[in-house]
Amino acid sequence: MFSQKQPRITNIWSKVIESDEAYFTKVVVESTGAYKYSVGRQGNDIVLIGAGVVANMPTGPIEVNDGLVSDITLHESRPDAATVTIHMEHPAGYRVESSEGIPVRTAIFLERSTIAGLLQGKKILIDPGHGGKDVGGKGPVNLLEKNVVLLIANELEQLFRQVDASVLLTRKGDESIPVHNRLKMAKDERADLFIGIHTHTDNNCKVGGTAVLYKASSRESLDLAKLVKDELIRKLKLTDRGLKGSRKFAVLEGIPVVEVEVVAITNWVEEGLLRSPTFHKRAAEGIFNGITKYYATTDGNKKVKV
Amino acid sequence: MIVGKIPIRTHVITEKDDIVDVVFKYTGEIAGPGDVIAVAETVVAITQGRAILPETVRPGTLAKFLCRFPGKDGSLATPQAMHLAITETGVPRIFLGVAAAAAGKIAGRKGDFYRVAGRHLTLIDDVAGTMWPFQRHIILGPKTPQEVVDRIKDATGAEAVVTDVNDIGNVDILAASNGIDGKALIKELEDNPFGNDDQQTPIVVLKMAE
Repeated sequence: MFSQKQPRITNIWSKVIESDEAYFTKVVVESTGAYKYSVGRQGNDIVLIGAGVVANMPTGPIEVNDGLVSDITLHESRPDAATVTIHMEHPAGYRVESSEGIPVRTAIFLERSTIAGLLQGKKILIDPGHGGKDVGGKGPVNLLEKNVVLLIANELEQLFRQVDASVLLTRKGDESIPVHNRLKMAKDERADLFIGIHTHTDNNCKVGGTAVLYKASSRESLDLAKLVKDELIRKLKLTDRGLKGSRKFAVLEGIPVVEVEVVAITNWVEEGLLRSPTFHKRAAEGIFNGITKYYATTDGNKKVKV
Repeated sequence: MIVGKIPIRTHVITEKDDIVDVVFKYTGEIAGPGDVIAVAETVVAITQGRAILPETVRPGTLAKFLCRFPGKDGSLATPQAMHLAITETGVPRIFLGVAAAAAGKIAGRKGDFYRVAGRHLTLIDDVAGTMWPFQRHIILGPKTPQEVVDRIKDATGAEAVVTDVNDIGNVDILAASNGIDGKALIKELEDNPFGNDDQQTPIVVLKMAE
């Protein structure tokens, strides 16, 4: 009979839960039946050890990259014991809940307050490129850069609002705003970071991938650009088109500046990606993760309380 | 009565896999007689080698012309995808579909193209329609889905369906083994237990009360 068989782990998934009261990553281990387990800490990582349970799903890592959890690894330590290791980017408090049913779900809730702490008191200016008559790049089917970058910028704004960071957009609608006005806004508002959102345009429709421009001769901008690009590529799994220094941001003294070219809109596979709301969200998450990592690694923030 | 829906995580399935072997490997210890194994149509198609890289498709003049007419957010808006649709269904039937679509447009009706040119064309997912590592592929609908569900039933003893489910609750059952109540099953799949496309759970076991 089904209920007498050894329980099997059939799936592991995770989700960021955002609401007014709560901000955490929920990791769920699903199994065909209940088993005995213990949850503890190994360094920053959280480890669930289950006894009398086997893996039905492939063992090994599952990428998460949500800014707090990098991956979750399932491992069969003995023929009748399974270990789930949650690899953390930052330390976090946790609690565990189990619910009965088919499947049985064991949920580990990880607090994301560290991320909120890293961004506390920061003012981020997001600049969705182009707008109005200036449509920017055009996709081979029909998409326009000015529209898709606004969708990604809106998702990114949401992520910053969630952690109570101060966030501004240079444009909220389809308006044409000269570049010098956008840069001036960063100065006037005393922004801590200037994040431009663009897509790349190329004569060769085969060229695709992610690139990040940064303010030339600014160490901070280069550091930020590297982190944003790496985190975006982890999320989107697109080709790395590299980092490029640009002189056009030189007027923004003292403010780190990056301009993200999320994809090449002229590549028709990547134009297809730009149609998906899930893709906009993932792109925003990648940029957000890069920025939090920047604040986690820069000197001024090393002493952030956990 | 269905007492539970168990999403089954698998490895990344490719054309090197046999779909019946994959289903047996991951559900053999979980599903038994009376239970239903639901398999997402996309992975069935992938195991049949029906994930096509657009670079390998040379669209003809007809495809280049016709791809301008369907909705831009739909699946046949690129010459490559339209070319594959023509190859799948044949030139005469495509023309009948186009004629029906034109008449439908005058009558203010949608969907006539697919009704005439073939429902199987709605299963074509254009680039960026499928999870990594198939985001650069165009995925055609699966071939012989009935044979697939019959083989799964033989191998596992459980009932089987091949299904197309999306996040907005549209459920299409392409084939079902003979012991299945299709209507009841559609209701159970409306909440999309397969999860979104990056969750790697292309199989769901619906457990029945014992």
